[in-house]
Amino acid sequence: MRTRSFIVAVALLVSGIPIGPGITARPSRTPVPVPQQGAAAQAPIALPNKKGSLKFMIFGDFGDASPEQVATAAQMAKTRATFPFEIAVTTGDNLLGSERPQDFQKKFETPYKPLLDAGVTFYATLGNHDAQEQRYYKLFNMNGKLYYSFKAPQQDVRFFMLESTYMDPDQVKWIENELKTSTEAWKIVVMHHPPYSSGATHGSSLSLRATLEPMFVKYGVSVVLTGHDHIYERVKPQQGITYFVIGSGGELRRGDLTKTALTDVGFDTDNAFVVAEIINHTMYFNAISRLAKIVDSGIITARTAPK
Amino acid sequence: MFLARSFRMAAVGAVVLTSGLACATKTKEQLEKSSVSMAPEVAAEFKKRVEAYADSSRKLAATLPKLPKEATPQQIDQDQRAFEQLVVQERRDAKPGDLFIPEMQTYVRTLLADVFAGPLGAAERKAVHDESHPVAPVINKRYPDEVPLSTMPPRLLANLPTLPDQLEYRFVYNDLILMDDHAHVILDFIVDAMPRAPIPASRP
Repeated sequence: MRTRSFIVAVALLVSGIPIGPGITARPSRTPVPVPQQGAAAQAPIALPNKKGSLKFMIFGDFGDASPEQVATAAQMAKTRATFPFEIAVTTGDNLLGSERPQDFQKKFETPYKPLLDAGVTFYATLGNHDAQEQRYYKLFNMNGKLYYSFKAPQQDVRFFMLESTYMDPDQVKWIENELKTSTEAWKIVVMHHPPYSSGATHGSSLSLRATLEPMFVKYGVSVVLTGHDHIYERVKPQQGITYFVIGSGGELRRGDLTKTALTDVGFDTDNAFVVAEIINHTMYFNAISRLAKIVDSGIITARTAPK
Repeated sequence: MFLARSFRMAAVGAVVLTSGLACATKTKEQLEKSSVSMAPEVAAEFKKRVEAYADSSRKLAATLPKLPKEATPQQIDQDQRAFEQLVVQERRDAKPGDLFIPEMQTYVRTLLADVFAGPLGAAERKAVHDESHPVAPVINKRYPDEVPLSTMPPRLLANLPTLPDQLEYRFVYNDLILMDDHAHVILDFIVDAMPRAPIPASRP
């Protein structure tokens, strides 16, 4: 069965479906306009925050020990106080610059101590600034692998964590086989380089897109989470797949978002991270700035592989 | 170890002949697989050399204490740097061309000229150069910790000879390096392996 994939953003709030405490929405069958670049949702969608759902957080390009990283990490901890996500996935560039033992402390363990102490499990991907030894670092839960997949602790979800700086034939074969054989309703790919991005510094990685997108489409990937450009962007669905660039967890490239036809919502005036919740075939998400502003929100429906 | 002159000429000839076909209109599959092919003798020699290195490297690694399953950053760092020292010591007489033999260098340059041609090739070149690499490769030296690794286009990796685990191809600007990713040591390199970008006709 082919599930129609669509994003219904903020305007759902004027509908009739209860989607959060005190918020109701009326059913909508068609995509509706979403906030423009840099603009917060007029009335952001509240996350349902339901028992038994998968609650997770996504961030990337963070490990620089800057005041911005520390402040954004603090906002993550504040968010978790009301939305208790249990896992966090990184889109890479986990440690920028030096990677001596003390750097793991000041660029990861100290800023995210409240989350680590609360039992949040981190799953990392590697970016082009990351040494491959990070795969042995127990708090990144990579189990010595440069690329791996894991089943989420709640709901029917599998994350596919890729090493996008070195997409050799072995990895291409591996991801194709993993996607083909996985049976989860949600297939979420996480990697550093964005197949679609409106970032001026890097932009879309066309060669990765050419290699990976056909299998994402064929095997029913719903969401692709990336970083590399130090901005936040949600790209208009491409062949039914929603691509995010979540790369402003540390150093921000203010003004780097060059809005293109790809851009659904973008934000480049402050740091940001994303919290999301999956309940059955629906994913709710909020992109949150360092200063606690919800800069994007919406709903994504799981897609299945075309028959 | 040197290859016979006639073998070299045959190998270079094979590369040149096959690369001539690259100009034809390409199907999607051909876009992924370059028409530039390597002479079997060159492929075999390169494979023999990198596997000999990998074998030696595995033996060196086996002399170090095994990392615990839940290693600390200190233990990971110590292991990595100890291994680097072993590799550097073992290869103290290494010189350019030990692994990238001249025939392999010719093949790689021809292959890269083909792969990086055309609009997709231009985009891939841009992706390789999307971070600054202000270093010059030196045999048996550590790849600088603070310089990001180049992103390798999947289409290029699909065309270069497969390497043993732990070895990688990367770029330092236009130079292709062969690197031990555990030791962080540059094993060999090809200067200007990637052709320089064509100069626009309008440029004075």
